[in-house]
Amino acid sequence: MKGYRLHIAETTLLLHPSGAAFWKEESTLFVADLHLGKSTTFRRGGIPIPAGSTTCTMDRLIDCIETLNASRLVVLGDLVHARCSWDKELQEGLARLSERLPKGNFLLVEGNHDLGSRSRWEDFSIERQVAPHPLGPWILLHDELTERPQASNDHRVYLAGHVHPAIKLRRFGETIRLRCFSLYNNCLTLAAFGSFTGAKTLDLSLGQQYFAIVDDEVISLT
Amino acid sequence: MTVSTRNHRLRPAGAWFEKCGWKPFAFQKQAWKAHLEGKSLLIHSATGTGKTLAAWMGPLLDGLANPIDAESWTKVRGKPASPPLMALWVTPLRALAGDTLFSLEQATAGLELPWTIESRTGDTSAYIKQRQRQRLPTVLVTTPESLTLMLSYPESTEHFRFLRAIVIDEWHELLGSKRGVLLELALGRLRTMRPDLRLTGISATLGNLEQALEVLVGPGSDRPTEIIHGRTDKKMVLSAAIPKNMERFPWAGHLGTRMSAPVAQAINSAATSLVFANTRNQTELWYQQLLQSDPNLAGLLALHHGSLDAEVRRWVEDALRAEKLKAVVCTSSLDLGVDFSAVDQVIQIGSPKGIARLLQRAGRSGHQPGAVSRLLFVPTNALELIELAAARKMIQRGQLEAREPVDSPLDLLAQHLVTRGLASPYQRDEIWLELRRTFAFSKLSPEELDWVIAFAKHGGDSLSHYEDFKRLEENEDGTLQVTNPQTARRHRMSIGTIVSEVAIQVRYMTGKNIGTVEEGFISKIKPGDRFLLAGRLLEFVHLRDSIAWVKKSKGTPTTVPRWVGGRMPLSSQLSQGIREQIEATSNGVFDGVEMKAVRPILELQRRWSHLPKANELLIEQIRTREGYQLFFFPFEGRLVHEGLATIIAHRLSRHRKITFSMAANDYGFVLQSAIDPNVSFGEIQSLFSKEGLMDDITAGLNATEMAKRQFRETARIAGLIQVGYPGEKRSGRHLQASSDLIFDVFQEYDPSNLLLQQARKEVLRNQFEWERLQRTLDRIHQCELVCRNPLRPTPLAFALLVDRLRERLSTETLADRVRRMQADLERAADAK
Repeated sequence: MKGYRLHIAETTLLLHPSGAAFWKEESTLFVADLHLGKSTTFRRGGIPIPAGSTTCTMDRLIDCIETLNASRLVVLGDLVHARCSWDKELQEGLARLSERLPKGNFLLVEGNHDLGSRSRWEDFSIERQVAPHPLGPWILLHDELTERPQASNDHRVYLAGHVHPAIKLRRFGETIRLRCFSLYNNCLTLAAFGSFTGAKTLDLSLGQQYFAIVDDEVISLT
Repeated sequence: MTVSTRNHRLRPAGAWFEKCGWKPFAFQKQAWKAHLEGKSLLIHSATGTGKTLAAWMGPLLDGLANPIDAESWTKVRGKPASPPLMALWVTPLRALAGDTLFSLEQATAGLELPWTIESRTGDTSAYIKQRQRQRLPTVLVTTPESLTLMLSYPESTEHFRFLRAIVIDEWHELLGSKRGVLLELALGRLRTMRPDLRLTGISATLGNLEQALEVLVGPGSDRPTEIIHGRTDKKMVLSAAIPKNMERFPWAGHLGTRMSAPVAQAINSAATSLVFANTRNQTELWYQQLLQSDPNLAGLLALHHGSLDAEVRRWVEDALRAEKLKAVVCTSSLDLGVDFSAVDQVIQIGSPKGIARLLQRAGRSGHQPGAVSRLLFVPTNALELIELAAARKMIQRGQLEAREPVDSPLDLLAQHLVTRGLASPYQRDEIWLELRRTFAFSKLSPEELDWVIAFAKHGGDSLSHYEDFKRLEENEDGTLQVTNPQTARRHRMSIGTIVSEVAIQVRYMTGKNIGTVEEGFISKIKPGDRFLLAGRLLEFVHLRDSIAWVKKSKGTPTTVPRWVGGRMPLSSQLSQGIREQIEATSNGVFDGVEMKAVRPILELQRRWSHLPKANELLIEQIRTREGYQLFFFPFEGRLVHEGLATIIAHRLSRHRKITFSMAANDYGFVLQSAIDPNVSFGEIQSLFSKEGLMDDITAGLNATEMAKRQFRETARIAGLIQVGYPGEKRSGRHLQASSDLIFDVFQEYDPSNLLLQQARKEVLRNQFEWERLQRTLDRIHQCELVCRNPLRPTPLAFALLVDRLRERLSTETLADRVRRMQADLERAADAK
């Protein structure tokens, strides 16, 4: 697995092929848009989507934490998919995750999909934060469009999710779509980490930097 | 029953005809007799020859002879009582319902039957639909979707208690599509409810009429049937507009601006013409060209295609009916529908790709009594003249295309199991029997049925994967049923098979709707870009609220809208006809105006290379500036050629380090490479082996991407993607997912899901005409391979070369480049 070392905010972030961003300086792992329990929501809503993606996302996340030796986890919104996503699988998974982290080191910057589950966080020692939330050289958001302060002299870097960014590349009549991180105007938007998440293809524009996830690597494109 | 009694039963019809000043045709009387004898029928006849009355009088006469007791009549306060629902008339187009209603009402009133007739389609108002759920008229004109919806209600058994006859109009249109299967399932249900049901299908002429009847009544039906051959003696004149200067190196795509003058002339020499083009784009371009060619046509020329606003289309149809227009440039959007009596000429631009389609289009003209159907064929490249000559021959021989019925679409079955469960509980064995009596599912295996039942009940047969999901429930006695009101409501909203492309509304800044374009097109253009739509040049302002706002513009288009669809390949039958025509020319026979016109082209082809006989496969190897070109000419239609090109390229590159780029058209395909592939004769023969065919075609292309695209339809029909309904709460948004994503999830966590398999199967059938491709390989095995190494591209090869260039060059550069190539080749042709 080969990530991309991004030098930013006078420190380094490792953009990991799983979709996470690791801040080595403080052993912190940033992820966004897990949408845990999404397939459960669909099944309860009458659409036969097979189970498996929630556990898969959880396994990948725990694997990431262990491989990178993270001691703090920050979720930039949409940890769960909906209020009706809660089932045994989800609860057990979150409990497993919570055990891995020292108490107080599991932060959630609430996203639009998390709103119905507010009463649950306590059970898993998840600390709820509201955007914009400062953390060292970063300002944490879920949705940059609605949560970023309009006029600000802040030189800190914004970290956000919500978008589920992807880019399309064309070659010899073939097109491929790749999940990516995007960096623009002092804001880094993370790829959606969850296994059962869609992605939004971004229009390529000047001044924007993209870090595409291609199999086991993260490649920088400008 | 004596003959006189039978005639006595027909007399009321005869009397009414006489009053109207008409005389019934023999085939009409035959149809009425057969219906009264209790038979199910398939009536086929040329358009405008009295099919409606042939089908309708039977049920009317039966109604007269065997009326229903007054105590079962529908009583409505303030209105006279009327008999309950006795007959259905199913039409594929809801727009047709109004006109059909009128014709049926006339005849019904003519026989003085106190029947009420109403229509029920997607366009029917909610108020009327609600009223119909309480009280149905005696006759209902409806669509397959609306009929299926009616069958989803528990009261359907009560509603159809007195149903005796169903007429299915334009059956050839529905046959061969999933909509046809939807109807088959509804008919299967109705046949179970009403074993004495009599069906009458109305069809255009088809190559597989017996099968069309079998699909209608279901296989193994013991109901007596009859095929009624209507009038086929309708006089028809087919002619071609032959370009004055025939280029010897023809290519497709330059719409022959030279041809717009003769077309304008033809329009002026007739009363009213329908000008058919193969794509929506072409209609827009031709509309502009015709106006340029003859500005007097302004106001008398109109446009009609599927992406125009419904109001615009209705205006054009009304104007046609009122004889206010000289010509309408249209696509297949005007293939079905009421015959406009004003139309006395059909102009077909470009090959119609099929014989039946050619006949049907010609038949849209000449509806005045004693009039002749006239079709003028305008080739868009000279070789298409061969297609007309071939079509003529095949028409003489009566060799028309068959419409292949759809086989076992499991996505539709999944939808049907739920629809059925909404009406009443049923046993697995009950539905098994009913399904086996429909053509589509006659070969369904018990394992497949069980899989689909499991899917509808709890999503796939691995129970553990689909906890919490419930759609179809199983009761204690083993019956299956749907009782959840939310499930019921969502399912009823999504009954059907039509998967619409994401269309973006195009609207003037002033608020008027013009039509739609595809999302893909809008995502690629910028404000200021200009394009043609509805005959006007529009400038794109911006996209807001999912609407593309435009304003009128002057100048020339900067971009061209692209709509999916409309690229049909040559039919099997027409391909065969073409091979025969070319064989004739290889023997020096040039029969008929069209073949004489293309003679110079084909003679040059022979001189420089070869004219293949029907049992020969021509292969040309040419070296050009672009590289090494390997041409194959099976004359089997574009889709088969695309499949063959993929397979052969893959097989050639197995033992060589080489990459090929390819192009295909209806006549052949080309593989182009930078280095010499050095293919020996012996190797060429092995390239067409059927062994490993499936593997080679999946290896050669992005099978997953194609399956995903096909899966979109499957996902929609099987209910994996919900259609949102008006007023849906925000919570509905949590259930949105793209079919791509669902495909990935299935592949990852439930790879044996039969819906994935169905998508893959359908890709092969739709993209490559899989069965036809295999038959082609069989045919090629019997062929002698003829290899030639011409020094320069031949007329047959030329068109494919241009197609290859088209991918790399812009339109202007392409036109220049082609002109230069043509000039070079013409010089060489004159020299030798």
